[in-house]
Amino acid sequence: MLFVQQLINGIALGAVYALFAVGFGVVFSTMRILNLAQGVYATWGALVAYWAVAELGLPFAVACVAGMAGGALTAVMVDQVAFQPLRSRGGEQLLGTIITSVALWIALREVASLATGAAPLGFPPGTVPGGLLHIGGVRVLTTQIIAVVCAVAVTTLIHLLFRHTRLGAAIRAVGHDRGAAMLGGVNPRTAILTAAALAGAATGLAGVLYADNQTFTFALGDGLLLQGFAAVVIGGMGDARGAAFGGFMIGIVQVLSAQYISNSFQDAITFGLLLVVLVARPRGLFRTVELGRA
Amino acid sequence: MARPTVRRRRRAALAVATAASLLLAAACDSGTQSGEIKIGFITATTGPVAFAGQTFGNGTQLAIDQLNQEDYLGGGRKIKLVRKEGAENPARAVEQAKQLAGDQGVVGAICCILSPVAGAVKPITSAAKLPLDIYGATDLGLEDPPYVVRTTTLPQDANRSLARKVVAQAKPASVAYAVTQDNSGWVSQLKSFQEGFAGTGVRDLGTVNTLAAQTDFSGAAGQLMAKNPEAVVIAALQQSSISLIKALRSRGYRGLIVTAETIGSPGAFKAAGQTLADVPFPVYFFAGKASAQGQKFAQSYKAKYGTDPDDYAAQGYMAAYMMATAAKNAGKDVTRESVTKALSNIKSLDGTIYGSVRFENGQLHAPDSIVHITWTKDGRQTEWTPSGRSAS
Repeated sequence: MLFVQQLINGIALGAVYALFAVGFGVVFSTMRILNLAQGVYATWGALVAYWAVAELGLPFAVACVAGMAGGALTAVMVDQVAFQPLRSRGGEQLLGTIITSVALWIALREVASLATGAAPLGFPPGTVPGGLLHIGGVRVLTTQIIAVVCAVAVTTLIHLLFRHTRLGAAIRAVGHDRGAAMLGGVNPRTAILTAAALAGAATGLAGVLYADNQTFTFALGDGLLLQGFAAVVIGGMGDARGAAFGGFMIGIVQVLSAQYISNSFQDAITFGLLLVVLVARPRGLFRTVELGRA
Repeated sequence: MARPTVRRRRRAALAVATAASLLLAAACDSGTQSGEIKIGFITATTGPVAFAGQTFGNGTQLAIDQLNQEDYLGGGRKIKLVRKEGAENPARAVEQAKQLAGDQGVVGAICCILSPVAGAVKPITSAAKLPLDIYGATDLGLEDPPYVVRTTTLPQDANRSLARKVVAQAKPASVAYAVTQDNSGWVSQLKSFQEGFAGTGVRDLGTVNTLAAQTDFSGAAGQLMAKNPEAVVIAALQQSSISLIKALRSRGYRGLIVTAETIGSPGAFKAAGQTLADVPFPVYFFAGKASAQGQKFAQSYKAKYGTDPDDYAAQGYMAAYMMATAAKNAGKDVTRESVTKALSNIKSLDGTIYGSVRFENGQLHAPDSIVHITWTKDGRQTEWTPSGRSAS
């Protein structure tokens, strides 16, 4: 029974990682950017949702949407401030984008620290769905169910958008070859801004669902960044399903390894798994975009 | 021929003016017999523990303001805090300590909430023979007189005391522990809780390790609940403690949860709310049972900052009070040497905010001021008794 309990905890944690990884993957596959500022989208998503609930008294569902909007806005702002100037120069700017994303990461993290006084925050009691289901001897929180439902829904929607709509095709075309996409009538700026907003919204939601049942600080996104990066590498960069799969896998491995091997080594085990996958399948389990292209 | 002569005179005049300025600056900087005694203060108002650093800083500043107002040093001399932001980052704090060490006008320094930061800073100040008072770090053995003293009230003593009270009054049959395993200060605090429970007949069901960077505690809560303990003791960082308490309670854990002082700040209750109700933790400063000097401190603090002082604010106040007392006892010629000597000579102090305290090997002890308290559901602090959920 303990195994099942921890498996459910792992799936719920993995759902948050999956949402984050989906956002991470969207940015990488569209813009070819290893965006290390992605973590702060989650932080700002959680902060906006927290303020919506604690200061404005809005219901949790509305706060989730506000958190997504907060993440999306942050992502678009980061893209326009940090990445657009580099894109306008043309050519490969991998190192430049990594450095600017680190700068934005630190800057937005410090702003979040100042805005919160670096104090731990938590959604006020009663504002987050607080139900607890007893299934056999297993306890499942309502928030855990919400996280899994959100992860599956967002992954499915982004997958469908990318594979079955004109907008998705345009975004993919820009990611594949910007010049050719322009010749085909695609507006690359619109495609990139849409992708940035989508990534920010998914990541912002990850932040809200990560923060909703515990306390969090301005550093919330830092932990998610590493796990989300590992998830997207394991699953594959160009496919939302792969990124989500990687996220669920990491959540489960992390919780079960903490239970049955050692809490102290859970990160070592997670990133050991990443190394194994990189050696065996460098393009991820879903074999999509090649890492080397970055 | 006239021009070189004029130049030489100008150069000579410039040299004399420069030398005079340097001598004047040196005299002003020396801190001796001047109206201003400079004490370095490495603050932590930003960074990972800024929530605590701000109240530490408030307490320290309040002490200096009060003591200056009361002419504590005598003769109209004032203490000036030279604030340097260290953000509780070891590298940054070391840089700030080097700056303070390089300023010969600074005759003492106050620093450090985290043990690794204190460990990194103290070799710098000791090498410069700059007396250092550690105000928050809790790992055992950080004090190193004559140059390093510590006014941090040791949570280990308080934890042992709380554990014994829990055994005597709540009478749990079994206990499980959670600890921030990669932080030596918290491992040390865990041991103190375990020592308090040892030999009492309370069954030890084992320890669940967590990490300082860990943010999800669903797995740790599951591990603890699987042990089915009647009491859970959490020796962990503030955010970890609060998150783990929330994770346990939201999953229906009804047993007694015991923690260290870390959940005592008003920010902790703001973040966790009534989840913290009936969770006992030990403090050295509780306004409701404080000495006369402590009451005065609490009133001044509330008047200035709008909240009751927590244990961190009291520790900040005590650190400044200790350094000011050393400066006062150093006599007219206040230098690093005389302050170091004066610090070493302080064996006990009466009338502090903790009442009477004593020093052993550079470490402050105030066992009589330990109080076991808890949050109420409406956000007040009160003395803990095993009632309600805790007693069930």
